[in-house]
Amino acid sequence: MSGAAKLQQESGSFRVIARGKLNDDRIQGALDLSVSRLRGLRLDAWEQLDDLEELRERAHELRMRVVNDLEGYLAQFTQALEARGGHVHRAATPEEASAIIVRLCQERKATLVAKSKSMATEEIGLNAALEAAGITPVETDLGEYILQLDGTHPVHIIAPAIEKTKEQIAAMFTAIEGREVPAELEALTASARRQLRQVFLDADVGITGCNMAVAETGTITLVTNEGNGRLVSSLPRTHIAVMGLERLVPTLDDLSVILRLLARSATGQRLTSSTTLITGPRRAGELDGPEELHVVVIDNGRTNLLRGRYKEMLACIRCGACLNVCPIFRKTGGAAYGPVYSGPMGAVLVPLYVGLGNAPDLPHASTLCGACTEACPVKIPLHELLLDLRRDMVEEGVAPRWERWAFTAWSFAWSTPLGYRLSTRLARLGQPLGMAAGPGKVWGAGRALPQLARRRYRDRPRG
Amino acid sequence: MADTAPDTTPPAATRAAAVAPTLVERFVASVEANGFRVHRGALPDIPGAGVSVALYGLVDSGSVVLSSAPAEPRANSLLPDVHVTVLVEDRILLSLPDLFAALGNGLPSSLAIVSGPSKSADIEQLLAVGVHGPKEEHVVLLPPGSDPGDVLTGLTADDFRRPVVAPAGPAAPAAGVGA
Repeated sequence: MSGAAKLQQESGSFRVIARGKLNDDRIQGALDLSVSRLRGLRLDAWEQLDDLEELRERAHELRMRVVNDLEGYLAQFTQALEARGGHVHRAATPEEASAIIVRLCQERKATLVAKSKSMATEEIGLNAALEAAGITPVETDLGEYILQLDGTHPVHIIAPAIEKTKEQIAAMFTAIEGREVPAELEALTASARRQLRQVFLDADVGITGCNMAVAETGTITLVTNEGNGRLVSSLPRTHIAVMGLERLVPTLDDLSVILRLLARSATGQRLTSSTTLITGPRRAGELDGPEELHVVVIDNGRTNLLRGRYKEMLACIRCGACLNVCPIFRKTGGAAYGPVYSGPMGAVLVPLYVGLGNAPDLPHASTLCGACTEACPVKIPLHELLLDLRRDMVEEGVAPRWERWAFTAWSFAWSTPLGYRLSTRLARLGQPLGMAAGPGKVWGAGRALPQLARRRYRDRPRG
Repeated sequence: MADTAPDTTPPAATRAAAVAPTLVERFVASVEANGFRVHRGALPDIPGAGVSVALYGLVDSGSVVLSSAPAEPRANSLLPDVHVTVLVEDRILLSLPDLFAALGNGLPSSLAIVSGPSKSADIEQLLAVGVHGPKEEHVVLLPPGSDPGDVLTGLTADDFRRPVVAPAGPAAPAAGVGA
């Protein structure tokens, strides 16, 4: 596939990629360190909030208010932004979104585009589309920049490049600068600053995501720690922001609720180093700031979620808290989930965007332990949605045939006392046999199974 | 340029303390925790530093709030290695909800809530400072009622004289309006 990032995934690919990561000790070490660190930081930050539960309830309520009247809030946002001199574009598919952005760049004769971290642009495969049009996009978030040089995708929505070592990064920077960059943090940071500073100054267009937009005021918000979001949206003459159509709050006061939760849940900070509220392009008399502001609002499957209970997933604020507590993500990392979204939020979101048949592994990438639901600042019942997705897989006939047969046979057997007695008697025979070969062997690998009692409880003498 | 401005003289300090003892001190502790360096009364002499006048300060998040305006270009707080922002103490607010209440719908084209120097943990999760924006953030506190223009040369602060809605004080009514 060119252009659009491939959110679709083939059956079995999760297992293949995950096994590679599980067998790599260095990646396991990096994952352990990052997820435990981020999880601990969130828990400490949550403890400091004396109105935490109230905030979470409010956040859930106000996000659902938006989800339940998306078009209304989008219209209000559009009107407010246009009153401030901004432009809003709507795109249904990744191809449409990329085409709009490529056209905006071409009309402005742009050759160099500076980007700040944006999952939405990853989702629409924007970099490939720009490159195909002869436009050079440069990621300016340090982690994303490293991945762009490496030609790989983010593995964690908050910490994209956790799998890379200083030595690997030093080799890339040395090649670019044409001089030795030592594998030390300060030298690497200084080198990145030199390389990217020139990009900020030379870029014709700056492209950002949008963490949250405010319907009432037409404001978009950028939340970064490196400050690159502010540079990208301040220095180039044209600023294009790409936003998922659900990323709205009704009012500024509502924005404060989300901002108080977002950084705390993502990195344990009260606010990130730089939180920028942009309301239109530069105004009369101002010496800098973009002359034009375009917001590209993408659907890409989001409206699929509006029917039924999955719409709760649209409340997601992309903090990454669920990734850091997930026993599956903590071992596999993000790559197994596909190129963009990972962890429990990705496992719910991606099958709903692209259809269950196009991401059949993801609803099973969970132990259903519920840690994700507990960690979600906006109270999305993630593990319940994953279970619902599994049910849908069976109902839609997406689940493998043997699985449906097995469950049909099981429910038939256990609906009569005779069948139940027979099945438990067979289990003693079946366990050693079933684990010796076939699917039982695969499932049983790495699992310690309980020893079955020699005599069943029901066969014991009563009294 | 700031030689004439008084240092932290006892009268000014006691006056500030009488008006808002806790809020200012809490603000100082909060921004210092975020890596800001705090000065009183006069600009530090740092060659090449970008200087801005902050619209507000926030206690809860340890932030300075910068508003774009003709006299306040964004680049001042973005491009130099060191950024110094001047904040009059009566513009210190408690929290984000207070900030948004104070702003009403009068949002500038760019409102930057800055809560520390540019930083990244993207290389092996080690904290690196100054990856893009300023490596150092400084705040210069001026006593309530001061004109930031007094410590600046060549800048006017007219755009920053909007009325303060939430009064800075120990009994600030907007405290904790997260509800």
